[in-house]
Amino acid sequence: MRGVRAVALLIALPGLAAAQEPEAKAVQRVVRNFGKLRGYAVTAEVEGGQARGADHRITNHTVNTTYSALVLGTVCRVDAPRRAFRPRAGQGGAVEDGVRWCAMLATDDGRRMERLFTRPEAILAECLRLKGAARWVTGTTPAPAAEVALSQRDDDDDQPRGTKTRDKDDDPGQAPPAPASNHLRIVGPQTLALEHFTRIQNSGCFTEG
Amino acid sequence: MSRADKTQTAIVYDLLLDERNERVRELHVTVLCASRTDQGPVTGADALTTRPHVAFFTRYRFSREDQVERFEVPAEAAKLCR
Repeated sequence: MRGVRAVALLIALPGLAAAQEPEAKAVQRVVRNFGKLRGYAVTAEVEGGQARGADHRITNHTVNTTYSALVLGTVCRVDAPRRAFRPRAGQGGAVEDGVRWCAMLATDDGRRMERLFTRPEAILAECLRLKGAARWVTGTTPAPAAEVALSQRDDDDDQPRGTKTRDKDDDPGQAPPAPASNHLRIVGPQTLALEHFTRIQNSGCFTEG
Repeated sequence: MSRADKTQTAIVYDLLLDERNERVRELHVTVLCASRTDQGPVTGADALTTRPHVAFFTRYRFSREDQVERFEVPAEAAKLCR
């Protein structure tokens, strides 16, 4: 009986593996689905500073803030740590400063919010541009730290580290719908990393830390 | 933060999807930057891993998809959002 089960498992496993959608296609689909949302709630935990170790453990925090917001239609209402309204796409907005509303970039809190709490739509647009570098994270995928180390080694150009997307022909067509992984990872190019790091620096969080 | 070595940076995006891979439940962005030591910049593959460096994590968590109730935008704030 055990032998029959083992054979059944061996037959089923390739099918399960093939159930995984090509990475680029999956990124495109989930980003499109996100864009179709009329509204959603979001919290963004921003944590950073001097780190040590392969797990990037923060040893000296320069920022540790959680933003919470609601998005409906074209407007985003930020409730914490400071009340603000901003357009869902684009830049700017209004931040509450005492009893009055100020332009987002006119106050320290507003500038900090604008640069640390990047709109998810903007991040997902970057993911979409880099979809060719997306990989499913499975049990055999190296930890993020190792991924970064690998990307550093072959990152002499500014292109994202691409991975082969499975061909349609790889799919036997008998796969069950359950996906094997629910986690996509994209290692972006250094130019984008620098852009993000500079934006964080410009938030002023380093001078306050 | 003058000790950041901006010639060595990295960014990793993690998209955590729901069980049917239809929607993004969480979005994590990790930004890393190497640090300079007194002897100068740290080179090598471990500059962003085992050596001291700068790390920033942003973890977005999404909920209440299409279940957000209508809210009012104060006129003064609405003007600044245009």
